[in-house]
Amino acid sequence: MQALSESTYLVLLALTKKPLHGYGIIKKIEKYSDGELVLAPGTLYGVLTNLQKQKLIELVAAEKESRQKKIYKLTTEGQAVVELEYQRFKKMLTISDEILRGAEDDEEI
Amino acid sequence: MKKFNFTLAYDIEKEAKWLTDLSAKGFHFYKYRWGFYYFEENPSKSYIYQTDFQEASDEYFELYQEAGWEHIQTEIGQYHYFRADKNNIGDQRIYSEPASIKGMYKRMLVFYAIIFLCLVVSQIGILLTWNGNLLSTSVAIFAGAVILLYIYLFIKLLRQMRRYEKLI
Repeated sequence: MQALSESTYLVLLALTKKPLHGYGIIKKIEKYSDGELVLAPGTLYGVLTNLQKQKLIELVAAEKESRQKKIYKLTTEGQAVVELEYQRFKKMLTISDEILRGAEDDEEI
Repeated sequence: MKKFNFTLAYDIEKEAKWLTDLSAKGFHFYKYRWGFYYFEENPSKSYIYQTDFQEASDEYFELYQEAGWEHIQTEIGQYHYFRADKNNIGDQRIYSEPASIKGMYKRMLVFYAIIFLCLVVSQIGILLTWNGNLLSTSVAIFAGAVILLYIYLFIKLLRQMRRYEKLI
């Protein structure tokens, strides 16, 4: 699997606990990053369109026909993709930690 | 105030900057018609202007509005003019990553490529009924000029895409 863009990952992550509407996703990411990451509406709209095409997210069934706000949720595949990406980040972090904090004893390499 | 300006697709960021600069001077764009931009004066305000290009939906406009962008106008169904109060929006813009700006220019490229193909197909008749008279020659020259303009547009759009590709 190709690494996801930062925005794509954040959108998937925001939807892991419960379904949200578009602006709810922006607010959630903003809140959890202490206001540091504010996804712009154009970027979010593009990500939502792509994720729907890839069937990683879908509209919550009851909302499909109504005029209310569209609510998005992860598909089973979407869940799996977030989990994979999360594991990848974790691994990168572990490697980073080991290199950054490790002693400089690489002579045998 | 009313100002005439001619903007081609690939220059919409320049256009937005022009509108933002004028707004900082107290002239706020509120309407576009046939190349004319209409401004209302209010020295106490200052807006950031942004133009987007895409197939819109109700959800799209709602999302932009919630994020603080006031929709001003839509042209040919694809160009959407927005503005936001400079003091409220801060550094935010309608796109927060280069990949999505590149995507916008790509949508433009596809949109104009389809129009271009339709134009070319519609001109095939001239070639088929070619008889070298003044009329068919002048139509061919005109069609040639239009084709060159489109090629220029495509090159410019590709260049914009490459510019943002490098920032990804």
